[in-house]
Amino acid sequence: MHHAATTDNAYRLPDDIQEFCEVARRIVRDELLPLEQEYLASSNHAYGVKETINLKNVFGPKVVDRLTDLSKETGLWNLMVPEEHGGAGLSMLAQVAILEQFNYTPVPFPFANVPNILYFCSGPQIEKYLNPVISGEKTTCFAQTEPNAGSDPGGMMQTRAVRDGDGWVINGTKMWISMAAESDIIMVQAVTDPEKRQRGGITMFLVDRNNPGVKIEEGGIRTWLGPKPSQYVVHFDNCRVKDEDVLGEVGGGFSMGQRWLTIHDRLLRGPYALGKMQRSLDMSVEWAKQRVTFGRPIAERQAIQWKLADIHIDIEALRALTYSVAARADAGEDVRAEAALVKLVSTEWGARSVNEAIQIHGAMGEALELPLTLFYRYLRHAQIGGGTSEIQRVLIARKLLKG
Amino acid sequence: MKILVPVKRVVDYNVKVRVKSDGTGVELANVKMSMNPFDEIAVEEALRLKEAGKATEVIAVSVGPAQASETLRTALAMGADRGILVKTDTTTEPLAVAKILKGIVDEEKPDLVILGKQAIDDDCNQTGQMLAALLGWGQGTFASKVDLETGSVAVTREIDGGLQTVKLTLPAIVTTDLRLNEPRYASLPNIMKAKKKPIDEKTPETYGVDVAPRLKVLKTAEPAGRKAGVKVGSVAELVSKLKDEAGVL
Repeated sequence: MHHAATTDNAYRLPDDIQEFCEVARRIVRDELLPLEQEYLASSNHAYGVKETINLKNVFGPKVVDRLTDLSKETGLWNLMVPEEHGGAGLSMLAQVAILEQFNYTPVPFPFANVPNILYFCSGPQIEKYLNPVISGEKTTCFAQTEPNAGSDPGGMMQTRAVRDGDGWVINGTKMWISMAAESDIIMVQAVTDPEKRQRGGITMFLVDRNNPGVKIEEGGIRTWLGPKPSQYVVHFDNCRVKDEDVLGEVGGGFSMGQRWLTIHDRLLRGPYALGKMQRSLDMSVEWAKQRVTFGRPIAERQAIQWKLADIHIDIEALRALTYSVAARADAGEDVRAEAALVKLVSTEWGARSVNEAIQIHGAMGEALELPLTLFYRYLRHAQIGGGTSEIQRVLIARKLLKG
Repeated sequence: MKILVPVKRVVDYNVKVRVKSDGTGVELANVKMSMNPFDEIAVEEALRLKEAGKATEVIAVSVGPAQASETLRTALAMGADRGILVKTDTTTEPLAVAKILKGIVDEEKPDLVILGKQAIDDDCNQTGQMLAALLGWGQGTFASKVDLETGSVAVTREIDGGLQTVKLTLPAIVTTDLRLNEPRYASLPNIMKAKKKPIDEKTPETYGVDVAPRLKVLKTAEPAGRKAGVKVGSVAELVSKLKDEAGVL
């Protein structure tokens, strides 16, 4: 299969970033694409961000260990880990360029999956929570959303944490929590001051999944994101935690959560979509040249040519946007509104590009042995998960109307 | 001891090569180029010898245009210590490359030169052998196993009838076959370190070598396309076609 070979050169990225991308592309081509059929055929893959768990769901330990070793040997494991915690110290620009390559296939490549708020860990928390997550021994999930608090978590959150002796007691229900059942540590937001709420009244707690006050509803919530559910309802029923389980400051939990969303759930949606879009385009070009109707390849039909051109336009524009916002983040700019823009554009254009690719493929496009419908479901989902498109527009408008 | 590893910049093995419309060669404009896969195996073998404490320095050398420095960077990112770029825009033939390599060997005095057995662009399979002849060194070609001992190297070679092991007195020439090892991926830290590793720039004139081609390419053509097959109606028809038309029975 043709693999977009010159995408990074086209942007005149620095030599080292091009070399990183080349390593990533080779791993995708030689290690991940050969696993793709088995992955897509499996009824055990789940939507989620924790690649190692998802790999374990589908493949035996041999494959998982080989890929994990490869990830650690090449340093890719620490791609997104800051330098002071043993990471590669790569710029956001390098990270987005590399991650695009890995999103060329739905087969996940194992990376250290550290939500960046976990770097607020201090003192004994570093050994207890942060380091095991960096090394991959433990995984986390982020519990913010509730049955009645999605787009307006700060205003609507009902989960409460109340002072009790030298600790806290948490009560409430979280919903749509990705990968909760597979996580060892739940990062949960709870209201500690109902007067202040998002302005200093919400606190982030680190809760052990085996805490007797935690109950995860079995079976999870079934969605169209994969054969295996990955989103769960989590109940906190008189869940007792200690002061040392507060992440950051008491009352600092809301802004911390928003910080995580800025990079993880917004800017990184750029490469997440770009890899899928590029693959969809590459597949569509190949297919259009091969598929013959009424005596001519469909590539000769203008209706198909326009679709190919439209997908390519979306890719080029999104890539330019993503790279430029990443570079601005590297320069220290506050890119919260711009990251919202990347999130909005990548998920909406991404889904529409894959949608066109499916149409070009006809019935074949719906076959589950191709990655297209899975790409579509993931990108369509991402217009809701991590903040809806509407909320992203609100964030963008807020910056425009400020001052 | 030092190991010298020549690396060639070639059309990436994943690219479908197209012949230029005027038949003067293959299309290289906007085509992805990378290190010759046999040379990657050579770099890997040299690095393993260094990691095993049997070699002290791995020097990568490339003869080619300015962009061949990218190929050297790849070798440095895999772990080679430094690079030598012999810059020329002329298409070099194996003898010219072997003469340049001889010049480098005279200067650097390595104990071992590990080359790919051939480059995947012209498939010449000559440079290693010519270099051995020019230097008067022993050669172990098509290596599938290399055991470095004190003052000698045992090379297991893939030959038509099976495997042959030859023992060469150092200094020596080894050329790599496909099954010698599986080259590593460059790591991110090594890619960053490679930026600081030196690449010396030289020219063929540095070594007094005239690289003007001695051979003339008359024409480059695509291999003939495969002809469509036919469907047979019965076993009897199949047998008769194999007998009378294909002549294989």
